[in-house]
Amino acid sequence: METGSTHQYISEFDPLFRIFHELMPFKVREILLVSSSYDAYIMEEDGSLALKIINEYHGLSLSHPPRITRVSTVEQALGLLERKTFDLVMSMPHLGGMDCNTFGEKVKDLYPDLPVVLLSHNVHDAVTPFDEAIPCFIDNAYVWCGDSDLLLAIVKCVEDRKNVDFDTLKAGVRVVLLVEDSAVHRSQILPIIYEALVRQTQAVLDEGLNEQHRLLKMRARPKVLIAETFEEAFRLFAKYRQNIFAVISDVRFPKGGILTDDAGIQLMQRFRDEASDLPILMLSTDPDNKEKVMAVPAVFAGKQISTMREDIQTFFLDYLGFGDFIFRMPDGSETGRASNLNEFEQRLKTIPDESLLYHAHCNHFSHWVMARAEVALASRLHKYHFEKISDVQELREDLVFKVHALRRLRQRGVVAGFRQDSYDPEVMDFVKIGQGSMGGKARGIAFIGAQLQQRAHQDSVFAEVSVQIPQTCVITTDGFDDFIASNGLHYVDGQTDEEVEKAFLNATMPEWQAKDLRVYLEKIEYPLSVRSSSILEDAQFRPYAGLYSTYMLTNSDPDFEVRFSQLIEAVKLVYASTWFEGPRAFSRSIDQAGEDSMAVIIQQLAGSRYNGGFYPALSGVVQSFNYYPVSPMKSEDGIAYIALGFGKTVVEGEQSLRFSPFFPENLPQFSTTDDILKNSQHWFYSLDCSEPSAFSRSNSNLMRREIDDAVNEHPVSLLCSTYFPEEHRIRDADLPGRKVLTFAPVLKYGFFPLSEVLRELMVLGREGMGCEVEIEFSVDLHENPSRSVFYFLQIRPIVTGSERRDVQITEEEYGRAVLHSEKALGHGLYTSMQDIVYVKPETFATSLTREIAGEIGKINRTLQKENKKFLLIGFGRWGTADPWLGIPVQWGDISSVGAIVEIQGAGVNAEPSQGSHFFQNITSLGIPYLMIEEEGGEGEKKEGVHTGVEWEWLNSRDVVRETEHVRHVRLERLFVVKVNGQESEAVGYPDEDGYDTEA
Amino acid sequence: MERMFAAIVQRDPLEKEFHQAVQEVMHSVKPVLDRNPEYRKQAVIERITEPERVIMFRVPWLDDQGQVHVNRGFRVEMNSAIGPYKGGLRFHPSVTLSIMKFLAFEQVFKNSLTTLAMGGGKGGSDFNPKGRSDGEVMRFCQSFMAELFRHIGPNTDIPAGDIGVGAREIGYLFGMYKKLRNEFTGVLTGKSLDWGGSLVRPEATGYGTVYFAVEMLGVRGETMEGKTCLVSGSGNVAQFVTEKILELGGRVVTLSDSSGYIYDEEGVDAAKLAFVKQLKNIRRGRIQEYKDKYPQAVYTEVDPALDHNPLWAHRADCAIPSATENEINEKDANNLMQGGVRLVSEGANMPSTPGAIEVYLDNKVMYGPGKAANAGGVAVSGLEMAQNSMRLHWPREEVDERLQQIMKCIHRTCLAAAAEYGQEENYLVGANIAGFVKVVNAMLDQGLV
Repeated sequence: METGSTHQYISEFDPLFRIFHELMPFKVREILLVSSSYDAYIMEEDGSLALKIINEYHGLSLSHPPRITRVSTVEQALGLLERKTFDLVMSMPHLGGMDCNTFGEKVKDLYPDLPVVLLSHNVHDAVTPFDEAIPCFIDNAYVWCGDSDLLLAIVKCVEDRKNVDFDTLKAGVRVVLLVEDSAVHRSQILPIIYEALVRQTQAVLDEGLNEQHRLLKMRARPKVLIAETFEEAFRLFAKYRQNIFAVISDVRFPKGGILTDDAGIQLMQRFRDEASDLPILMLSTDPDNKEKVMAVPAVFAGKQISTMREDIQTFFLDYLGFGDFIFRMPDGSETGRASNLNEFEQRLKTIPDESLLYHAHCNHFSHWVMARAEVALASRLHKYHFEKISDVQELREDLVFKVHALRRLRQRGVVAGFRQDSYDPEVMDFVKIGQGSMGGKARGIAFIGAQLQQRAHQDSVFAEVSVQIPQTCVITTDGFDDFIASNGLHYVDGQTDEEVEKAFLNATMPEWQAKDLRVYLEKIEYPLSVRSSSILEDAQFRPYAGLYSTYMLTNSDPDFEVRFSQLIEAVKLVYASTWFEGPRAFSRSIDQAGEDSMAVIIQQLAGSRYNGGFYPALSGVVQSFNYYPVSPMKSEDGIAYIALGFGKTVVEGEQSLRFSPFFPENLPQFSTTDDILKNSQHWFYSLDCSEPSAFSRSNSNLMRREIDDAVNEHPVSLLCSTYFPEEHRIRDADLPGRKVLTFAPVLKYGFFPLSEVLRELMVLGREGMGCEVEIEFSVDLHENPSRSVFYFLQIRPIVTGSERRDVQITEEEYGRAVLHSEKALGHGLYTSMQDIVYVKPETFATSLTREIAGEIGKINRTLQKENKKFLLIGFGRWGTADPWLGIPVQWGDISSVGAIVEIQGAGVNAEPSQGSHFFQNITSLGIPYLMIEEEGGEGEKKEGVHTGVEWEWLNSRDVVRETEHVRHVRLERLFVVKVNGQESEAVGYPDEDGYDTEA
Repeated sequence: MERMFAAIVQRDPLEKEFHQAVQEVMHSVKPVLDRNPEYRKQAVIERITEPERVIMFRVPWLDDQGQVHVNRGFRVEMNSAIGPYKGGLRFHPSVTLSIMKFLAFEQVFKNSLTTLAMGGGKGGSDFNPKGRSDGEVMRFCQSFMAELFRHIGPNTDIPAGDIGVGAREIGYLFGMYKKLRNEFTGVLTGKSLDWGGSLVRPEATGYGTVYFAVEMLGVRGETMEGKTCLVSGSGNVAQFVTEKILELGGRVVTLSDSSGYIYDEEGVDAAKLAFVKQLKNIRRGRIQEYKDKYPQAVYTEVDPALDHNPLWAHRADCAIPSATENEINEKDANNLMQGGVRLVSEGANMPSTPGAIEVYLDNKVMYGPGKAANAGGVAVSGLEMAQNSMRLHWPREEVDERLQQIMKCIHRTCLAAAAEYGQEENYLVGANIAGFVKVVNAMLDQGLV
């Protein structure tokens, strides 16, 4: 079944779905039925043939029943075949003088691969050439007995024959081999087999996957192959040996061109030699064959119509593991039942030892799991694994572990629909409540979750380290819509934030939503975050420290109702936040019609509990493109920011550590001991678990703690180094002394491969989204590094298409530029400056830099009072501590700067001052920093365009104030600085087109 | 003098920093030259302004990506008349031959003033350690020492740390030296305590400033006991200045940083000082938090519009500027006088402007210039050399005691030199002259080499 395009697109990234989606590429859509009118009349005696097929398909929830075109003559058939494509030709015996085989030959002349099937009303006509000397152009022959199941079976069989090679190769699909030369018996047996297979597959699908899974896993049902001779059977067995999981065979059929009474016995013995466990059912009209069959050994059943159906079904149930798993004692008494893997796992924990041993050694577990198309698990549950395990408890644990691991694996990367009766947080990473949209944020998380699941099997760091999304539950947009509609909350539009909040809190959660959330929460014990997932594309791109609220819940109150009410309150508050003034104003500013709907993400909080607080060892953000690269970093290497504890530290611009995932040991902020002491983190955020019944809306239960107060907690002691004041030295070791947070074990000594993970995530995100991305993450570090977990929290694009267009420097802009740099840091268009403060070249001297810094500071203070930004131009390195190297301004001397130009002399390394606080301010405030290496030098990026400053133009502007070494000019209109961060190029020119001042 | 200076400029016209340093020294020692024609005849100025040796060398190294970098290394061995060359190594992009010569030149006199047997030198490289990994810094240091080791030794040249060369770099340099020379000697100072470093290094400058102040007070028959002191800054020097003042019975009422200062009428006691240490050394907080912790204190934010620093306007007996250059101008100095301050001992380098110094001298204030008063750091460097020579590691108390003795000696030397040239108790003149005379006398003694 083909789902809608959106679902299909999403589903292609479901690792299991993608495989199943490709299975059964060949489908019978068009059937050409060649029959005389009389034959057709017979077939339709009980009703329209086409309708019968349709009903069969619908009855089995199969999609797209084939269409039947009937013609009554060979000429009509051949003529139609020339004009139209058919997938199957069914021919009745009487074709106006031509025999079927000849007709088949003519069909094959036109389409050598087109299956041709003979369908007869009687045995005599259902005969294909027996003589091997006569080529047979009929693929199979059947006898119509009025049973429309046969038509379904024929179609399925044709499809199976076409698809078996691909499906077995692609997904290890199982195969049932039917060896039957009699058309009558074949026509009786085949429908029985198919019915059992389809029903079994349907039963298997009720295991907590989503709708797409359920429908598409049908494609992975076992395939049926038919052989009519000994040689054909043997050939098929040899070819599909690894996939054949059952053989159903007649006893008597041709061997070497001669009908041989015990051909089946001989064949099965050969099979048995190669596969001692292979379930084999032998059917015979002669009861005397029973003893020979059992000696193979195989299961015997008679070919009586009255019993054959039941016998075959029993064979499937008892030997192929179809249906429920019935746990029995050795004496046959039932001890329990499991209809799905979840129940299977639970029963395995509790069934009596004798029952466990009995089923394990009889290989029942393996068969039953195999019937669910879980080939790998079936192999691991094979009885020979247990031969060396003597301890029952050990066996039990081994079984449970393996089943649990498979259940977990199957759920990884899958968005499952939430179901109250089957939700299992142990194995389900991502569930959604409702049928609406998940919103952009949730979608990004689900996408990455699927990608991670795929890469976990590849040769990458994801195979060595636990990288995952936190357990997530999304309330889709219909939850919000229903909440608003059922409470009539549209009236709050335009009210104050407080009024909106009050109205939402007083509203009632729709019952279906509340029930699902209750069931969900009953199974959850970890702290949670509750946040929004907007459907507005633009809102998705905003920094998450912005518009919408996030709430963190300890979820630890012993009273479940308290926990539940906190969750409901948090969800309502998230709903309410979409109607607050902030988001509304933003929507207006981008001409968006406002928030239409909202999904809510309820997510496991990453971290562990320490002394009354809960927090992750570290959190951070990584951007795949760095607009402020400092050697040896390159822009395309990206940049990361990390902090101890929750990511609020990073997001809100507090003290965090900036590093390149490609050069984690190169830390400009930590260059010297003084730098480390100054720039290391002193506080962090932790969830306050001391009062579980408290729910703070304002700070979301986060408390700010000092690193010094947490030195005995694992993350702090792990990530800190020790400072020795008597040597003014920091050692990367946990020694007695003052602790300083350096993250050295992670960044330098490989305790956890954070840099490698971030590098791969950037690639994954960039490739997946087709643009540069920003990823939010947390890491929970365990004392045993192998148990540490990296949590992927969120992904969003950095640069949108419009931003990309806006920073391309045009020819006109090159022509108008009075300032051009080819080593620029930053990115964007800056149009808020009218003032330019520059050091006069004619009076500049390196011996006077201190005085110059003072003069600039005075001008800055004046402009700061006037709330004006300015462009600063000077010589040498800004902010350097060494006055011989540049102008030693402190940040307070230039705090109102909007852009900085540094003109470097020859021989000076072309990098901005890495004076930590100075450079940090530049990067965190997004201030463009333009370096001009050689004034008037030939530019490399644009032929004929020189780098430098147009001093003549600058000196002719209106002077506001002038000191001995510094001049301050003001333009009539704004000065535009455009920085193309991708190219590290920038120009500056006076605006003549009237840009709007930036907010 | 002008001719001499012109010749120096003509020889190396681009070395502006060196010219400035020479000019300052020449100006301050003019009385000595005027009184001693032998010095002119023996061309001591021409000799003392020319380094004994300049070594410039290539320093190639590989970064973590295997890329080759080439930096330039320098060692200016300026003067060894009174002892082996002694001076720091600086790794900074601004390092040039001119900078090194100027710093080496100043080091000669600074070291001479300590009364220890240390000549003057300076070295370094234009290597920028900022943002470099430990491995890269190590490889650079090893490459640097692979050349430098030929020119240094415990009796030849003993480098120390400076900008960009901290404990880590000293360790890497020493390790390489030991590998190449196959000997464990005190060839570098600033070593870790576990393998030859000296105690009291962090405290030395601060303690030394107070010891010098004590000596100045002693000349007038006074002690630090009961004295109220204004201390600026709150970093390493200011903290240990405060600690030593408290130990000696004095009272510190101010501390500051770039944002403002606190005035605590009750005085900064040991507990408050511990708080300040934690605040500044570990948390890197602002001094304003002192007021949050101790509400009785008054915090005053820096007002850039003011032409003076109100910290210096409080009543006190002593002022110990320990923050930065040019933090006391003429108006501040006048305020100090009006506030009753009678002693200024400089913990920082050049905290008083020339105008302020004029005020001190005019008011006959006990003025200990930085080059004398804050020589404690250099002195302990010399003590590290001494301990290494004896293969001993002195306890804290012994190092402190010896530091005190050295400061006494410096004081005595300055005082005597000032008196000799009719500038009683003018420690600035005394310091300049004392340092200069000791070196040139030694040079003359050792012949024309």
